[in-house]
Amino acid sequence: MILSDLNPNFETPVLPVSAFNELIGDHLAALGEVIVEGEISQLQISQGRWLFLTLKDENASVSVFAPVFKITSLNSLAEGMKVQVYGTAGLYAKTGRFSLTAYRIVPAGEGALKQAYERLKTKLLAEGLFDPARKRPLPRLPERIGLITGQDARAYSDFIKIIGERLGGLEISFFPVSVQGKDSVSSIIEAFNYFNQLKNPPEVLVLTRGGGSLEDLLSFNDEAVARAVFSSKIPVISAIGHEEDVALTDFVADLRASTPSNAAELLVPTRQELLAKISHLEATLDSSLMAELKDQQSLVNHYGEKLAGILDLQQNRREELVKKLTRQIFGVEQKIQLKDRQQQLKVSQLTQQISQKLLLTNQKLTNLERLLGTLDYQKTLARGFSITRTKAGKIITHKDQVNPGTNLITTLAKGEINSISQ
Amino acid sequence: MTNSKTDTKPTLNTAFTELEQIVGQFEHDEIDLEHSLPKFKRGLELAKFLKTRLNELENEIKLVKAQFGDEKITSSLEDNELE
Repeated sequence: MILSDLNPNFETPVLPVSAFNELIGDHLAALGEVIVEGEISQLQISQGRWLFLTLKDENASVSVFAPVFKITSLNSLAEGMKVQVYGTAGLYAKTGRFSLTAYRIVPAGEGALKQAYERLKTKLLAEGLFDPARKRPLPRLPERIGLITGQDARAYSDFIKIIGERLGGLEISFFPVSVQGKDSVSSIIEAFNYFNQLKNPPEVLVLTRGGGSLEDLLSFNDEAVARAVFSSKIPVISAIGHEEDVALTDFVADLRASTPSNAAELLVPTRQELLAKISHLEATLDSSLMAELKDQQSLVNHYGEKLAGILDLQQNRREELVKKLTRQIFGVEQKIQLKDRQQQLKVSQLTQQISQKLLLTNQKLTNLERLLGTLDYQKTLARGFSITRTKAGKIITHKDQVNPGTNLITTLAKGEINSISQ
Repeated sequence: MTNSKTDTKPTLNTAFTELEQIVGQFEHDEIDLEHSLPKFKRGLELAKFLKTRLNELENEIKLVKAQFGDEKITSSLEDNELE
């Protein structure tokens, strides 16, 4: 809106204050984005939400206003520091106060950059963002990698080339960011947010860019970027600049690599290294099993021998037992035989004794016979003697044995005489 | 090769770690003979899988579109060939 729109006849209009302020505000807004360089002379934070500072040069000064959350470099700023303020000119309608509304303030010039770097480094160090204890180990063989760097950058091609020379079959998610310039910080933070919100995130993030001046590396010395690295759930390798450059993200990251190529080298081993390890593991496995089998074999042999020994021992004991029993049985047989023999001997002795007795008896009988022979009454009769008996056969040896008239029978050697006693 | 437990393709890391564990168990005599043969077989399978896996030459590069867009595959081989 310009004055001629309000009044085509160029008559000076009468404006209420608010309309005037609004009008000026619109004019200022039409200027668009500006970058103003100067030295910070006063720096104030109100209610933790608003930043007020005065920017000046030798001849002039201007008020700068910004919401605190927008100024990621806030903690690296200090009074006396030369900065570039990115923002738009505006008029605060209520008071008509003119100010520059900033959305980005960066240190300007080598001295200011160094100063800002050191200020922030000291602060983050004190806060524990560089603490080695919180650094996570990187996955040993990551296959899913998130790459955060500039598109068409040397860092990108170096990293991709070196990692491809080392290992294949990897999945690299490349999030192109602005590595410098006004959108750089927000694009890097967006990349970290993107990877960290994935359901299946990469195993490691690589934040890298090639070398440059302190000004070129400004985003990697930015507090918000450093905090994004710090709060990433996914481990981060930071490889910023050349060997000698150390960005704040390098201190915060879980691992610092000196260059993009070095990041690739630290991230994955080479095929050759892995193949050598696998061959070694295979050989160890093979020899371990062989040793195990050998051990088991000797154990089996040992037990086999032990068992054989036990069996032998048992066999021997059995044989001993059989021998003992045999001996015992034999002994019993011998005893029986001995007894048999003894009995036989006794029987024969008895028989012999009986025979002898019989013989003796026979001899006695013969003698008696012979004696009897001598006593044969016939022979006596023959010599003239006679035997007188009663009829009853009773031999009469005394005269008183018979009464007169008793019939007597007298036996002679030959014949008998019957008589009657008187 | 399939993993008996999950039926998913093992990663380089899981296969390598499992192989190292098996070898470690063998080296420290932690396996009895009954289990050592299946373990040995598993170790050889893992070694074979790893060797096959290492034959892969290409890396797949997905370009993430800014503003949380979908990923799309843009290029693969040209930067990643073996020396």
